[in-house]
Formats: sequence, C-alpha cells, structure tokens
Amino acid sequence: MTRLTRWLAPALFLLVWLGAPVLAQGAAVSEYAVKSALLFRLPQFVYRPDGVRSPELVMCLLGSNPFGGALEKLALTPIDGRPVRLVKLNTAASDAGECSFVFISRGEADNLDGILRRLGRHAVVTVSDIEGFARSGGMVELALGGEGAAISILINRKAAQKQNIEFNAQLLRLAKVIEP
Amino acid sequence: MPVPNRLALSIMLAYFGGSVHSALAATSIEADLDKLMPLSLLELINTPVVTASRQAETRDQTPAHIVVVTREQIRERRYKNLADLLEDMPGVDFMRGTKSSQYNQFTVQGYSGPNKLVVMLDGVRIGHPAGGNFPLAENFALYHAKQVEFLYGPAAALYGADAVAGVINIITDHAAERQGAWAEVGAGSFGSREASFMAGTKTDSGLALNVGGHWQRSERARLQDYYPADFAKKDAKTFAGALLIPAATREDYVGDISSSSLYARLDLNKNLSFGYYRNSFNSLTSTGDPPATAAYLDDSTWITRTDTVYGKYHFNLSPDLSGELVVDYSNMEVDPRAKYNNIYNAFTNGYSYVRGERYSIEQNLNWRVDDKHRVQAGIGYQKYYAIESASLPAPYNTAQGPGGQGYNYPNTNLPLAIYDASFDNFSAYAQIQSEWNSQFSTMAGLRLDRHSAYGQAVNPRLGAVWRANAQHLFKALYGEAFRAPSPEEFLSSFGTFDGSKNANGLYVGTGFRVPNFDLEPEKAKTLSLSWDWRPRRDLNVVANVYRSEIKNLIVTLPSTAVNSIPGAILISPETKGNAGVQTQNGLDLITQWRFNLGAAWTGDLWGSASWVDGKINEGDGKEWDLTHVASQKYKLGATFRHRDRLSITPQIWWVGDTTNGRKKNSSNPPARLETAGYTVVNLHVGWHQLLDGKATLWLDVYNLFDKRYYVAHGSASRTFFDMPQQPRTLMAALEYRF
Repeated sequence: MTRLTRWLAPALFLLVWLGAPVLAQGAAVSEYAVKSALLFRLPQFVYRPDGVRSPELVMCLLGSNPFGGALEKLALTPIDGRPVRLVKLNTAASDAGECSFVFISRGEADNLDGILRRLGRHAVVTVSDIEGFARSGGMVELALGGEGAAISILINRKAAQKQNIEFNAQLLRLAKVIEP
Repeated sequence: MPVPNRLALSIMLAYFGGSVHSALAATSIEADLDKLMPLSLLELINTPVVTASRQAETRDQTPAHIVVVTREQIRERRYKNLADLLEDMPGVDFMRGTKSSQYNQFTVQGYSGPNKLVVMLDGVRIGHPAGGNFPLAENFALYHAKQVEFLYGPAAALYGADAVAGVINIITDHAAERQGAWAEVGAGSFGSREASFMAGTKTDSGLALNVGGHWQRSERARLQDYYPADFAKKDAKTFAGALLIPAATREDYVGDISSSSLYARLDLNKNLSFGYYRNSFNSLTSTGDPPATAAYLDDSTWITRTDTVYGKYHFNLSPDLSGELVVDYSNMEVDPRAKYNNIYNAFTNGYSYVRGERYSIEQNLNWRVDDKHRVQAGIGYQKYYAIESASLPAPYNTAQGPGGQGYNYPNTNLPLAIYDASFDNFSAYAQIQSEWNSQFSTMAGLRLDRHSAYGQAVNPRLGAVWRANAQHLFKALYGEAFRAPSPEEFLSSFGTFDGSKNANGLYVGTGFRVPNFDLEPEKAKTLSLSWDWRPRRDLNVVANVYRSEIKNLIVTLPSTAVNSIPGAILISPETKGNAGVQTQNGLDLITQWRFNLGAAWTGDLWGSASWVDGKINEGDGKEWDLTHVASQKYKLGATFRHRDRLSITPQIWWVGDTTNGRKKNSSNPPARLETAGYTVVNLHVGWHQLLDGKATLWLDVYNLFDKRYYVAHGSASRTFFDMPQQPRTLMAALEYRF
C-alpha cells in the first residue's frame, strides 16, 4: 500500500463524515413539521353528528414528543374559533376524558392495544404515526410513504363511528379509508 | 494495497461534487412550520418529506449499538440475502466462498464465525439448532423481511448462548399487513438464476396467512479461467507423497452453489401466531481448497437444510402486564450424501453427516411498573440433540442410529465410532429498563443458564443512555456472554488409517481429531460506548468504540488420547480444548444522510469506517494477531432516486490488508501473514413503475470494474492462502406485483 493510498480512503470517508452537514441539499421539509401541521388541521374535518362541540380544543400527547416545539407554536392560533390547550397524558391515559384529540407516539407501539382500549372509553379522536395504527383500531394514521414521498392519511371510519365521530367528505376523499 | 481504481475514485468524488449547492442553514421543525401553515390540506399531504432514519425510536431505547435496515433499504441496496446485508455492515469482515461446510467466513468486530452470532426470524433462532457453525449465505434470503435489526455485542443476558458478537433479527410483517402477491425472476452471468415470491390472504374472522419462498442457483465463474496460476492443475497425492491422479488428467474447477427457502406465517388477530421457515444451502466441499488438496467434483456437495416451526401466544394480563409464550422446534440436517474427496481421504470419498435438533419453550413477561420503569423477564427450557460424523466410507444410514451404522474405519477392521449427544438447558432472565427523566435511562439485566453438559452460566448486562440534547445521544453498555461448545467441537472425530500396523499389531492412525466431552463455554465480556449525533433530521453520525475479551477460547490442542480407538495407535492426535484468550479494541464510525438534489432527485448515503486491533492466544502461550480481520475498512453506498421511477445504488468497499489464518513465523509472534487489501464496486439500478406501475426491472453488477482480488483464508495448512473472488457478474431481474 503506497503512502497516498494508505490515507486516501480515510480522507475520503472523513470528507463524507464531516462534510455532509455543510453540503447543501434541496429544500427539505421535516417529517414532523408536516405531521404537526396535519394534526392541527384535522379538527376542521372532524365532527360529531349529534352536534356536540366543546368550548375549547384540547390536543393531548401520549408518549414522547417528536414534534419539538411545533405543537406549542401551533397551539397559539385558535382553530375554528376555539382556543387550543395542550396536555401531556400519563401512560395510563386515565386523564384522557378532557381530550378532543390524542396523538400517540411511536414509542407506545408495544402497548397500543391497551392504550386504544382505555381511550375507547372516551369520545376522543386517536391519531398516530405508528405503522398499522389504523388497522389496529386507531382512527387516523399519518403514514410515511416510500422514500422521499409525502405523508398520507389513513382513516378507520368504523373505529371513529364507535365514538360517534365522523370525518367530512373532503378529508375522506383525500385520505385512504382502511377496512380492518 | 493496490492503487485504487481511478474511475472508482472519480465516482466517489462525484457523489460529493455533484451534490454541492449553495449551503443552507439547518432547519428546525418550527422553522418548517412557517412554510407549511399557508398550505391547504391537499398541499400538505403532497409535500415530500425528508426524515432521519426510522430506526431512531429503536436506537434511543437501547444502550446497545444497533443498526436497523428497513425494507426499503433492503430493496434498493439489493440485499438479496443476509450475506449481502452483513457484508455491508460496519465492523464486519466478510470472506465469501472460503469454507467447505459453512461456505462464507466472517468476523464481527473481531469475533469470527457464525457460531458467535445468533440469527433469528421474529425472535426465533434459525441458525444451527444445537449451536455451532452454519452456512450464512444465499440461503437466508430477505424477500419476507420488513426490517433487519443487527444488535452488536454481547446479548446473552436476553438471548442466551452464543450471542457474543451480536444478534441479527429478521422481522416480518404481521400477516394481515402484507396482502396481495409479488414475484421476482432473474438470470445472469455464469448460469445464475433466481426466483422469489410472496403472497398473502386474510379472512374477515381475523385469520391472515403469508407465504413466500426463494430458489437460487449459480455455476459461479470458472475461477481457473480468471486465476489460472491459482488453479493450475496439480498431481493428487497422499500425505506420504504417493501419486494418485496425475495433473494432466485432473478435472476442471467447479464452484456451483444453490439455495432455497420456504416461509409461512399464520396470524390470528394479534394474539396467536404460527410460523414455518425452511432454508437450504448447497455448495461444494472443495470450496476454499487448492487443486493439490481437493478434487473439484460437482457431486462432492455439502447440503444443509434447516426447518424451524414456532407458535407464539401473546396475552394481556392487565393494561400494564403482557406476556408471550413461544414454543419452537428446529431441525438441521446435512444431507447424508455430503462428501469430501481430498488429500485427507487419499482422494477417495469420505462422507459426513451432521444433525442438530432443538425443542424450546419460553414464557416471557413484559411489565410496565410505572411511568419510569419497565421489566422484562422470562423462563425457558431447551432440549437438544446432535450427531456429528466425518470420513465415513459410505453415506450415513438415517434409518439407523449412530451406533447402528456398522462401518469400519477405512483400511481397517476397527468399528468406526460416531458420536451423538443429548443435552438440555434451563434459562431464566430479567431486565429492568428505567427512564429516570427525559434525558437519562438505564438498563440492567441478568440471565441464568443451567446446562446439563457444562453447568451454569450467569451473564449480566448493564447499560445507560444519556440524551444530552436533541442532537447528541450517548450510550454505554457492559455485557457478558458465553458461547457454548458446538457439537462439532466436542463430538467430531476424524482421521486416516492407511492400513499399516505397528509392532504391537495396532493400526496406525494419522491426522486424527478426537472428541472432548468436557469442553466448557467460552466467556466473553464487552464494553461498548456510542455517540449518536443527529445534527439534522436528515443526518445521523454514530461512533461506536468497544473493547472485548473472550476467555476459555476453544482451540485445537495436542491430545494425549493416543489409544482412544481400541485396536489403534494415533500419531499426534489433536482435540479441542479451552485454552485460548482473545482481546480486541475497535472503532466503527457510521454515517447516514438523506438528501434532495433539486425537485426530482432524492437520495440516501451511508458509510462506515472501521478499525480493529487485537490479539489471540491460541493456547500456545503466545499472543498472535487476530485472524481474518482487516485493521481498517471503509464501506460507502448511495441510492439516487429520480421520483419513483429510477433508483441507482453504487457501493464501494475498500478493505485494508487482512490477517490470514497462518502465521508469518510460528516462533515469532504476533504477526500473521496478510492478504492484500482490495477495492470493489457494485452497482444496482432499478427501473420502477413499469407495466402500469406494477413492475420493477433490476440490473445488478457485482465487481463493476472486473477486478481480480482475493479475500483472506489460510484457515488450515492445506487450504488456499488467499481465496480468489468472483469476476464481474451481471444479474437482471423482473419484479411484478399482482
């Protein structure tokens, strides 16, 4: 091995390893920016057929927070004229009764069945990006498409209808309805 | 090391040159929100995203160094099987086509061989059922994989015996998640053909079934045409030098391989799951041997077939307590027609038969104690049976037991001994994971194994994860593990009689290995520290430094059992014994980067740089360099995607000089002989969304620049010193989704 080639491979690797953060890329939008925006857009497309509507919108988070500060930022703006309050639920979700929407983090995937059973006692819209969430009985799944693709919305209407919750036609046209 | 190919170098530089745009400041989620809020719902769901590796969730929760390879990565990088995947992993030295029975050799962070790596399918072991080496090659195809998790380092506290170098778990989808069907057929150079398929169906009652399979065959390159000096025909002689077959009449080189597998998974809702997995690999027993040592015969084969069936029942005892009962059975058998034809049998047929069997039952519990603490615990029982035989004069008769074969040692009237063993193991483990706050978590675990043959083994595991901030994650892990003696090590017996007798009328045997029923497990300890840096959501850099030590190493030692065969005297027999010590230190640097190149192009880049240094004492009191490790290796790959229509994936491996199995001077440690390093480039191209969006056409080019190169061998005194590798090989395949 010549002196040049002895150092060439590690030099090239270091170029990648250290250079990647400063090498440019095209416009990139982070996954959880889009998911947080979609989460806060959902209330406009969800309704109760009996017309019940709470005076404030309580957005709850179960599990770790993957959104950074995005939820706090979004909660500053009323949705549909209603102020937004953020709540971090305990793992037993025993305080979920006041929630309008609950986002369940991926880290809770192992306990999903139990969580959905507990949340099923309340008229709350369940949302998550856990793979297979809609098929497992969750109401709205924010699914990542293939590499470099967009987020798609998967809806389990039957799960929502059990809680007397419906989605409006525009959302149903744009989403994929799952029949578990 | 040879001067790198200039074109390969240019391609590497082009990755970085071609991706240069004006620099952008790092964006945060909140900053991206400003761009997104004005968008309509339709525009939001059409916004392409760039995401960091989806393994973040798994990696954050474990103090172990873990690499997760997703289905998309498996597909784009053309990891058709576990060998392809492992070869590209950080810290792995991979030597293809060097071993007569296990075919490939590899080391993981300095630990050598499949017997130190646990390979699982959905948490059920699918390697050698009774422990020991097995072919890790095209047989472990990945058509059914949702993802593959590679956990480095000792994991015996959770998984038991042999999880020394790490654990590979192939994870499949719940059968209800994978519906429909697809098939892929391919053909290529040197008579290569392959096919694979998956299909799924389900009922309204919650029953779902997935089935899949693969078949593969290749004649491989006729290496004598590409490496004429290495495969120049030689006289076939006995050890004493008597001519058996003159060079002029010797056969041409053959190197065929073939493999197949069958997979089925039946799920009933979320609670009950059944699985079946069969894999088979066929190679030639002359693999890795030069013409002077072995005859190249296409019927001198080693066919390994392993069947594994399992059932799992998952239940919830309370909202915070769940359990899983796992019952599995695995049987591995080497076809009785397996035979060698080499100098050790005086170029006559010597048959081998190997069988391993395992019954296992394990009850696992998962208890969420409170918000901060989670406990995993389990108890298990495993029952094993193994047969090992070699140098049989005729194929093993599976209708008879080991004692009923009725063979004599060739050239004698001495009954040939075939050994088998039954043994069992009781296991219990417990692990507590504690998340003390959002930044700091710990893990402590312990496993007890009580084995009927070698007694008790206790293996602790302690780890911590510190999330300093959103960008920096630090991990520390200390673990102990053990490798159980394999049936081949404690049962195997082989050697040669030429019919001569000594003055006392005893047959004289040479080249004998005798069994050792008192072997103890090898014991390993590893300390691993990792720094996981995520400067952006689309970029991840990991540094993993480790120090490992393994004692009680099972090595080949001189034996005093010269009279172990009644009626014979054995000259300088050998056996396996616990006498060695191995230590190593190493560093793996790993990068993963997702990028956009304008509106239509996206991509992934991944790479690793690995260094390892260590010493091994093989029982002779001297410290030698480790075998079959390159002190430095660099692996780089990238996938460039044009929308969803085209993917281009080049890979470059730059492997430094690699230690051989042989020593430079047996009296002068530590240096081993080395095989010269090499650079090899592969290229994979996929055209997607063909035929109404249902088909993909793949083109795979292995060894793109048609280099002649070698990998380290020298595992024994009469094998190839360096093993010649395949020339440029093309494969084309069509994948169709029904």
